[in-house]
Amino acid sequence: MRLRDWLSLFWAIMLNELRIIAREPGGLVILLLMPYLVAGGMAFMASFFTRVSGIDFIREFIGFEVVMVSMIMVQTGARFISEERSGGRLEHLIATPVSMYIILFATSIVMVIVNISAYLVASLPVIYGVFGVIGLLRLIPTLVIMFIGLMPLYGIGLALAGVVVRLRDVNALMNVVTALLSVLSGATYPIYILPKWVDAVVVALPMYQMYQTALGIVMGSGVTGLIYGLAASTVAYLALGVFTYGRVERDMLKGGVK
Amino acid sequence: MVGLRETCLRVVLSRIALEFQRGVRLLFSKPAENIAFVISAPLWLAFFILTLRGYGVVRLSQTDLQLFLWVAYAFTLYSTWLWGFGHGIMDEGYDGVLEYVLAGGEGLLTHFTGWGLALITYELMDLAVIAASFTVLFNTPVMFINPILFATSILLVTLELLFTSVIYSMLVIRLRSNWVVTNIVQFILPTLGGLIPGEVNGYVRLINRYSPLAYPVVLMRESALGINEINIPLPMQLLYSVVIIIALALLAWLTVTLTTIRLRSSGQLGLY
Repeated sequence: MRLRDWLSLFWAIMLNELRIIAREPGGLVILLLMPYLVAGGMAFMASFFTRVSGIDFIREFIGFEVVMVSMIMVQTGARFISEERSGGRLEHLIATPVSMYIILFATSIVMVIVNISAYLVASLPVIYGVFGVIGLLRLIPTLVIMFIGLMPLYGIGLALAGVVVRLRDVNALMNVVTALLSVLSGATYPIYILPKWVDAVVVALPMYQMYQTALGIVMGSGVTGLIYGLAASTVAYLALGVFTYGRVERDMLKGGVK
Repeated sequence: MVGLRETCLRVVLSRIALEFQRGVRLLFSKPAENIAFVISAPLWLAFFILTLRGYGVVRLSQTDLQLFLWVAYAFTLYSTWLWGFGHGIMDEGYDGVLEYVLAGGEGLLTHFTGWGLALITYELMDLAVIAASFTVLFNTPVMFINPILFATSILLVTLELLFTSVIYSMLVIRLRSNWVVTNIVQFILPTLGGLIPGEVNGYVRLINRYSPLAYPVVLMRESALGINEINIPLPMQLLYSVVIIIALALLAWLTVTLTTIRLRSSGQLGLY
């Protein structure tokens, strides 16, 4: 297959995925409103105990954005596999000459674009309100950080897909994973209050690296060494996801979809 | 005449009991989801408490913690009922259950009431898990100052949420989307429904005092903590709660009747 054919295939899968997402425009609205509802609700609660400044709100708002898009990304691969299996399409997809990696990557890219767009649109008013035009300019490089940061999360999701195909109850697993990763995100609280070993786990996960790097840029305090951690995470978690999913796919090719 | 009325009542009650049984079986048909709930509830609790720390809240007093517990429980109740009904009705639409219910001449209100009553099992599990999580995480035993009033308030909250959720389900049928509506409603409804304790702010106390939806939830908190949050005598709060529940029941009956007529006349028995 020539490069042009690959690209055309990739584009077709992306377009299809985009159409599926566009069927529920209300969902996109929720993506924009959710960080305001959660960060605002928590700020409201906190304001009864302490004074909440604009900077505090920005920090938490970006933290909730990171948690929200991360959870969506972690679920993307696993949910795709699970839904295709429930709909009886997984076997057909695996049997086609098109590699599942192409399908998975194309669908994930659409989700990344939707997530980053939601992050951008939702953050614009808050960042402009606190930092003005300079804040908007600082927001641009954070889009790249978010793009890179969502890749290792997709890798984690792919690794989970391996577990998902062996389970009947995907929702149950996802509920636990979402709650656990939200706590371990380190994006909405200072991590020094955690026990040392939990602290180490949080630092090794991409959510914290993505959050700290994006926050440093928005606040104008520059990037820390965590950006290298983020790059390493991208490679490591994506490799883990690809390896795990590869094994699962091999099993499915041998024994069929169970 | 009296005999006929008793027979009709017995038929309705037995149908509700059947729906209740079906609902309980359905809820416990996925044990993995129940286990996941038990594991994830304390994790979410920890996440939100840690987030308060992120906003700079360094210390929470025993009273604050007790109030926070009831906020967490009330929010869980709203989420459980709204998501339970929202997802439930969409699933029933997809699976064709609703079509059978409507075509078989069964009243939708009976169907929903039985299904809703089954959610009580979830409601009590929520309470046990949240109370246990608080006890373990904060080393704080949960207070129940007035257990009888507390049990009454739980019953009132249940009935209020049952009828509110039935009305909400009709909205889901109308809009054909559950999670968008739920996401928005689950933030607005609790605010008007007494989720936030009046102790924290004068404006909130005003909302809790004058919002008719707030009384059952406020009563739950008051009976557990032994306080009078909105300065209305408890018998009056009970009376107001009963009145609002009757009003909600009538509104639920009206919306269900209108929706059933619309679905039957348009031939959309199964939503799709």
